[in-house]
Formats: sequence, C-alpha cells, structure tokens
Amino acid sequence: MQGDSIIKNEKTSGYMLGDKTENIKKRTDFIEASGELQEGALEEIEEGYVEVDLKGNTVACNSSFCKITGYPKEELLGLNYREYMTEAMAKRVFAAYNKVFRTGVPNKAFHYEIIRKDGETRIIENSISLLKDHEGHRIGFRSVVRDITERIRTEEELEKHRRSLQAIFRSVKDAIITVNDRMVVIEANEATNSICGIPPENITGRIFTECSFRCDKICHEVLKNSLEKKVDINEYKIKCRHRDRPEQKVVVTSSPLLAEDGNWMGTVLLIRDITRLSNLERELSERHQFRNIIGKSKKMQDIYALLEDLANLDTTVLITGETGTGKSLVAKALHYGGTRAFKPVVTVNCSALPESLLESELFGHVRGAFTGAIKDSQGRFYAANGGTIILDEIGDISPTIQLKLLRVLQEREFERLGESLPIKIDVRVIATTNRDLKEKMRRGEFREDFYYRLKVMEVRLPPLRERREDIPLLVNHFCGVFNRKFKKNIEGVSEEVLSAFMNYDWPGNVRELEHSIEHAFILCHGPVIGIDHIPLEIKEYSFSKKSSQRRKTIQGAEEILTVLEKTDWNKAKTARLLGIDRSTLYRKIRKYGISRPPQEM
Amino acid sequence: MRDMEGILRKDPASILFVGPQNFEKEVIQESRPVLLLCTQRDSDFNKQIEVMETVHSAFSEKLKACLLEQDFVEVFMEMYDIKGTPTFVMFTGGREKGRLLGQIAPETLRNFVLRVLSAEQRDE
Repeated sequence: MQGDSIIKNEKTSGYMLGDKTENIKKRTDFIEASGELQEGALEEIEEGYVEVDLKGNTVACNSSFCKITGYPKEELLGLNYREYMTEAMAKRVFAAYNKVFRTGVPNKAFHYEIIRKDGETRIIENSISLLKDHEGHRIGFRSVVRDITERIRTEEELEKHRRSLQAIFRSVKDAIITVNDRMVVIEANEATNSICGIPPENITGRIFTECSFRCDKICHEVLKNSLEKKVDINEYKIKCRHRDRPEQKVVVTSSPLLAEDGNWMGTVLLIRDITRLSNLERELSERHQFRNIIGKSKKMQDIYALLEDLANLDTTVLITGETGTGKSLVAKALHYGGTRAFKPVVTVNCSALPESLLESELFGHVRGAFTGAIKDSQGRFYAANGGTIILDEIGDISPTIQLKLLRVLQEREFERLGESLPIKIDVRVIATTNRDLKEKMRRGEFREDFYYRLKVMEVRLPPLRERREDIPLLVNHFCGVFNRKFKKNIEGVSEEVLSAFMNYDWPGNVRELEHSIEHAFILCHGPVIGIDHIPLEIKEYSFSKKSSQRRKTIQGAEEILTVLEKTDWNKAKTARLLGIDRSTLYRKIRKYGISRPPQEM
Repeated sequence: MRDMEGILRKDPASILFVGPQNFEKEVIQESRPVLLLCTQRDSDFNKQIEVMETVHSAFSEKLKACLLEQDFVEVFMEMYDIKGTPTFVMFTGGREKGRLLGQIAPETLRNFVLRVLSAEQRDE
C-alpha cells in the first residue's frame, strides 16, 4: 500500500504495515477479536470463571460462575466475595487469597463453602492465581471454580459406608477372607483367628495356599476350585480336622469379586463354624434306622452308637441275641459301615454243616485231602481276604474247629486241609450266636481262650418284647417291603391288630413279626390288615390275654359290690375293708358302673 | 417337612439309592452317564434332592440319577477323596468325569451335566 512501511512488532514478533493508524486499528481489531473469542470460550466451559479486584469485588465472570452462585451476572459484577459466604468462611478465603498475593504461587483446589442466592450451601473448589497488568502489577485474582458438592457428599457417603462395612467385617463371627485372582489375601477379619486359628495379619498380603493353617486345608481346595473354574461354591460342609479342634465342622461359601466389566478379579471366602449346630442336629434327630436295622427305642439308639464306633475298626465282634433279633443284619451293617465296605463279605452258617465239611468250607482243601476232594478249594477265609467273614451260629462249632479259628484270630493265618503251607490273610471276623456261650464254657463245650478272643467287643441285641415301642415302626417298614413285593397298596394294620402285636410275646422276635405281616398280606384284600388276617397264635394269645384282663375286671366289680352291700353302701367303710382310699373306690364305682339298686318303699 | 427319602424309596422310577452292594452294578457298570449325589441327611437335603429330581427329569432316560445311602456316605467320601457335602459326581463308563461342590441351583447342575456329556461326545 502507498506510504506503507513494514515494521517488526517487538512484542509479537510479527510484522505490520508501517502506517501506524492502520496498524493500531488492525491491532485493536485483532485484540478485540481475540477478546471476543476468549470471552466466547469462557462462556462455553463448565467451570466457573471469575476475576476479582484486590478488594475481592467481582470484575468479570462467566455464566457457569453465575450458575454456581445462583446470582445473575448484573448482580455479581461489583459484588464482594464476602456477600456469598459466612464470616468464618470469608476469613479462610481471605487467608487463601492473601497467600497467593504474597507468594505469587497459585493455590490449586482450595475448598470452601458458599451460600447461593437461594440460600443453599454448596462446596466449591477454587484454583486461584494472580492477575497482573501489562506492567506486572498485581491488580486482582483470577479463579477457576467448580461445584464439588455432589462429589464431596458422595465421597462422604462412601466413606461412611466403608466404615460401616469395616465394622461389620470386624465384628461378624464368620471368617471372611478376600483373595485376588492370584490367591493373594487382600483382607481377612478377626474371626479368621477364632475359626482358622491364624491371625488375619499373618495371612494378609500372602498367597492363601502358602499360609500355615493348622488343618487339612480343605478350604484351599474350595478356593482353588472356585477361582480356576470361575464358579460360586455355596454352603459346602466340611470337617476341618483342625489340630486344636478336631471335631470342628464348617460351612464354606466362595463368591466372586467382579470388576465393573464383569471380569473375575478375586474371591470372597466365607467360613462359618457349624460344629455346635451339627452336634445339636445330631442329638435332636432320633435315629429310627441304621442301615436296615429298624428301631427308635433307647436300646436300639445305644446299639447304633456302638455300631458306629465299631464300623471303622478291624476289631473282632461277637453279636449275641435270641433267634430272629437281626444278628445277621447287624453283622452286615458293621461290614458295610466301614472301610471294608467295598471288599468281600462272606457268611458261613457254622451250624448247617457237619464238622468235617465245615473245616473244609472255612479253610479250603487241596485235591485228594479227603475222599471226595477231587479238586483244590480256596475256602471261605481266603474268599473273604481283605474283607469280612461272618461266622453265624459260632456257638455250634466243635472244639477242634474252635482251636483252628483261634489260630486264625491270633496269627492271622491258616492252612488248607491236606497242606502244611500257612496262608496269611487279612480278614475281619464277626461272629454271631444265640447260645449262652458262658454256660457252654462252664460245661466245657466252648473253649475259654476262644471265647475271650471272640468277645473283644460284644453287641447284644435285645428281644423284641424288650423294645415294644419299635413294633409300630417295624410294622410300617414291613408293610412297605411287602407292598413292593406283592405290588399291593395296603395302608397298614388296624388298631386291633396293632394292639395284638403290642401284647404278643414274640418268641421268634423280628423274624416272626416279619412273617406274620407277610402272612397277613397274603390274606388281606383290602386296604387295612384286620385281626382275621394275622396268624392264629397271635390272635389267640391276644384274646386269651384280654379274657384274663376281663376276668380280673369282673372280679374287681363283684368284690366291690359285695362289700358295699355288706356295709349298706357306706363308702368309707367299704374303702377301709377293701384296703383302698375313698377316691379310688369312687373311681372304681364309676368305672364298673356300679349303682345301688332302688330301695323298696 | 416332607420325608423326601421316604418318597424316593417308594418310587422306583425316581432317584436310585446306592450302597456298596449295588454300587458296582448301578454306577461303575452302567452304560448311561450317572449323576450321583453324595450328601448328608441334614436340613438342606430336601432342597438338593429336588434340584437333582428337576435335572433328572429334564434328561429322563439319558441320565441315571443316584443317591448314596446315608450310612455309606463317609466310606464313599474316603474312596473318592471327597472333602465335603453336598457333592455331585458325574460318572461315565464307570469313571468320574467331574464334580460340583456345595449347594447348587437346578440351572447350574443342568449346565454341568451338559458340559460333561458334550465333552464325552467330543472324545468319542
């Protein structure tokens, strides 16, 4: 342009045309444009922006600041900061601004409370810096302000929640152990000490499976299982086998710790001690059955307890009791309840075979050992190796076989007939008998040494008449058995039948009861077994017992009537003569329906 | 409380009771997959039986469901190194193919059975 010269602008390092007026105008235009741009940008931001002079009066601000304070711009401009806070707060703000003024160092993230125009208190975060003019003089302050009320409240809530959870975590009686995905313990509560016997500080930060717990560490397996397969494990009951508390039982639950994106980042293990509960449940539940042995009477409960103790041992057991009391059942229960359950169980009826055959049956023979021994035989003891041999009716065996059996019990070896090579065996011996072995011993029919070798533990089964309260249970059981066998739908027995069963003596015990019900099932074509369906001897026994009771009743009434007539119906005298008190006499009079005949006028 | 055990024993088509006498025949020699529940008769027993029945009925003839007799639970646990109850064990061809620990929902058990059966089909 004519008359223009290019002048370097020292401040901006740019160039401008030499015409000063033009340049000034352009510069002014530029500055104005920049200012408008800057103002536009400030209006767009969410943060509040405010400039105050050295007295704290608002010189400029953006719309966001107006929104934060609740004041319109025209009211804010010229308004002192003290107008929208408490006096105490104003002092704090003054101190903060003063420090910035003196040091020149901006104060970032200074928090304080303001009171909006509508009276609501808000918490704001203020970043304060000095405003200087072009000569570097301090002319005021510039602040970038955020309303952080919600954030602070959320943080406080979270902190409150965290403290509350911590309190629960500390005080809950279940052990809670949190591990990350590498099985490192993040946190454990105090109950870990009482249940697991290890203080939480001893495991926090360590790999769970490497911590020295004094138990079988079954929880470790549960945790590993849960982490590896990414599954919950709920209410898993285990026996800890803790060294200090060997009976401790716990319930373990393993739940995932999930990240926001749903990724598995660890596990929470909860361990609850249920030892006491489990023991109470056990005590409270009256055992009605142990394997196939039925009975809830005290005598049977005692036997169940004994069988549980004996099941897992290899001790020789002698089972005694009348015929039909369930000796074989008990012997089988002992076998199947122990670690030999999946090994052979062999039963030998010692009374069914003559002595010569019994010996061969028990111990085996080699070919040619006796006439008829055309091939080798291993024998029952060999067949039972690793398992159990049940010697039924042990009281009927000869002294010779008693001696051989004694050797088996003592030496755990035997020889086959016709062979001198001893064979070692591992067999548990259970013997049964309905004989009185002590009596046989006294008569010299049973060896004393063998008796005491057999009778390491004795299980004595009571006759059915000594546990009559089990009869209804047994009746129910057999009805179920025969309903399935005969494909019938008999509901049970009548009251009359039950009464007959309860009164009967049962010389054949449970076996006799079983056969009686089977008999009734064949005859009964209705839903209920009646008195005509049961065996005659039980019916007759019941009838004769009732008759005898009825006769006693009749005698009682006749006697009272005779004495009453003698005393002219004087109750006191009658009672004295009968040797009973008056209330008993009145009761019997009512019971037998005794009444004075009407007197003639 | 329902006597689930009594109900099951009366219904031959339902879950089969298994003990040492019939374990070999009913589980090891069984040609179908077998789902076996090892559990104590406690307060949670009925719930787990119902779960098992639900899943069993979904698979009907393709899956055999067995429940260990109460008195054989401890022996079985020792044999198969089972540390707690309830534990569901899947057998195919007489061998254990997987187990689930703790109380579970029907869906979880169903998915477990499907996984084991699918794995078996793939191996074949």
